[in-house]
Amino acid sequence: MRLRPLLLAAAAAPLLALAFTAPPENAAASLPADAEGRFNVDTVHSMAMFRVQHLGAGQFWGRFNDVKGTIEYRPDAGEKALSFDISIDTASVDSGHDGLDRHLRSPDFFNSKEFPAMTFKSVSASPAGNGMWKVEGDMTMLGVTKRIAAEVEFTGAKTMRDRRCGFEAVFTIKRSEFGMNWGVENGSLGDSVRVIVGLEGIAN
Amino acid sequence: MSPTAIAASTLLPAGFVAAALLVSWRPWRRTAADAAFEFGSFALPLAVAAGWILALRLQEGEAIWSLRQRWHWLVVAAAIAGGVAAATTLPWLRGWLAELRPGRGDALVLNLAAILIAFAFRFTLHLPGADAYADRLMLLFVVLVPAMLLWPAAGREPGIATGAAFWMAATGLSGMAVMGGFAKLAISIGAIATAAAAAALLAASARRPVGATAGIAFAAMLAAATAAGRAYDDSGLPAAFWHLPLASLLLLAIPLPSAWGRVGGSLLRLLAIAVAVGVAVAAMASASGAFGTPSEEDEAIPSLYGFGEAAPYGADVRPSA
Repeated sequence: MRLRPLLLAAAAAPLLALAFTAPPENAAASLPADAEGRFNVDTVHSMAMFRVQHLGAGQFWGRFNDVKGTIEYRPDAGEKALSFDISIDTASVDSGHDGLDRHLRSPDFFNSKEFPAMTFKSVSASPAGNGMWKVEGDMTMLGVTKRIAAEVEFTGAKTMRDRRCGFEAVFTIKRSEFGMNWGVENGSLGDSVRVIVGLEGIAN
Repeated sequence: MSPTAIAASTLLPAGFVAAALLVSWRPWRRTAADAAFEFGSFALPLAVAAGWILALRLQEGEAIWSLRQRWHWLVVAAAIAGGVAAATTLPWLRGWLAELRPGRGDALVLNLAAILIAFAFRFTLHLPGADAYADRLMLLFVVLVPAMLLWPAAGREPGIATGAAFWMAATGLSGMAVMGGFAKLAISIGAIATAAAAAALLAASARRPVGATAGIAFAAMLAAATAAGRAYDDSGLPAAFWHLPLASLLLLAIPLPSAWGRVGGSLLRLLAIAVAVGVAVAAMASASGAFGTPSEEDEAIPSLYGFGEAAPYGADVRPSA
C-alpha cells in the first residue's frame, strides 16, 4: 500500500517536468527553420481578395491577381522578427466582370492609372499563439497612408524544389479613409472592406 | 450612386446657370441694342464654371479640394475657364483693346482669353499619360482651337442652336465617360450638359445668342472634360473618337451658303453634330464591350494555349500588362 503514493508521484513526474520545461509563448509561436530568411512572394500562388457589402444586402467578392513583395522572418529581430513588404497591382483587380473591372480601375475606385500599386509595409509583428501573429503596418492606397493591424496566420513552410513558406493575412479597412468614397454616402456600397491576402514566399 | 444624388449633381448646376442668366440678362428688359448683346454676359461663364465645380464637389466630397488626384484639378480648370471668360467683359480691358485695335478689340480680348486658358490648362492639368511633350502640345491644341473658333459662333448663332450643340457634345462625352467606367466624371459632365440646355432654352426665350464669353467657357470646359475622359479610359478607344464630340462643334464655325437660310443652316449643323457625337458614343460602346463583344483580355487566355487545351498546372496564364 505504501507503493501507491510513489506510483502516483512517478506518473505525475513527467507531466510536472513537461509543465516546467514547456517553451514560453514567444518560442511556441516561433516559426520552423524552413521559414527563416527572406522570401520573394510567388506571384502565381499569391493573391488578395476583398469583400464589401453591396446595396446593404449581399457581400460582394473581388480579387487582385498580381501580388508581389517580400516576406522576412528573423527570429532574433524582436518585434521585427516577421516583416512584410507587399505591393498589389491595382490594375489586376478582377471581379469576374469586364465592365465592373473597368469601373474598379477608374478614379471612382482604385484610380489605377495614377496609383498603379497599393502597398503594405509592416512596422511590427508580435506572436499571438497557435501560429497567429498580430502585424501592424502602413497601408498606402490612393496616395493615402494609414496604420492598420492585420491578423496573420502562418500556414506552413516546406522545402520542395524551393524552400517556401506561406501566410494568410486578414484585416478590415474603411475605404473612405483612403479617399475611396463611391457609394459610401448613400449606402449603396459598404465602407468597410474585409481583405484577405494569401501569400506564398520562395526563399531567396 | 442613387438617382437622387445624380439628379442633384446635374440639375443643381443647371438651376444655378438659369438663375445667373435670368439675373444678368434680365430678359424682361430686352435691349437688343445692348453692346454686350453678342459678346455675352459675365455671369454665364461664371455660372457654368460654378455649376461644374459644384457637380464635382457633390461627387467627390471634400476630397476634391485636396487636389490629391490629378482629375481633382478639373475644379481648377473650371475656375480658370470661367474666371478668364468672365474677365473678358471687364469694360476697361475691352476699352483699352478697342483703342489699341479699333474695330477688333472684342476679337482680340476673346482670342487672348482663349490663349490664356489653353496655357493655364497646360500647366494645371497633368492628367495620366499626358506628361509627354506631344500630349501636352495636344492638350494646348485641343483647348485653344475650339475656344478660338467657337466664340464667334456663340455670339452670332441663335441661342437654341449653340446651346443645343454644347448640350449634345456634353451629353455624348458624359455617355462615353460612363462607358469608360468613370462615373463621377460622367455625372459632372452631365452637369455641363444640363447647364448648356438651360442656357439654350433661356437664350431661345430671350431671343439672343448664348454669347461669346460662354462660347469660350463651354469649349474650354468640354476640352478639359475630354482630356480627363481620355486620360483615365482603358477601353482602348482611339483618341480621335474622344475628341470627336468637341471637334464636331467646330461645324458651328463653318459658314453655310445663304440659300440654306438661318434656321435651315442651324438645323443642318445640329444634325451633323448629332451624327458625329453618335459615332463617338457608338465607338466607345463597341470598345468598352457595351454591345456584348468579348474583350481582348477574355480572348487572350485560351489563345495562349490553343482552343480547348488546358494550361499546365502552375503556369501563369494571365495576359501580360
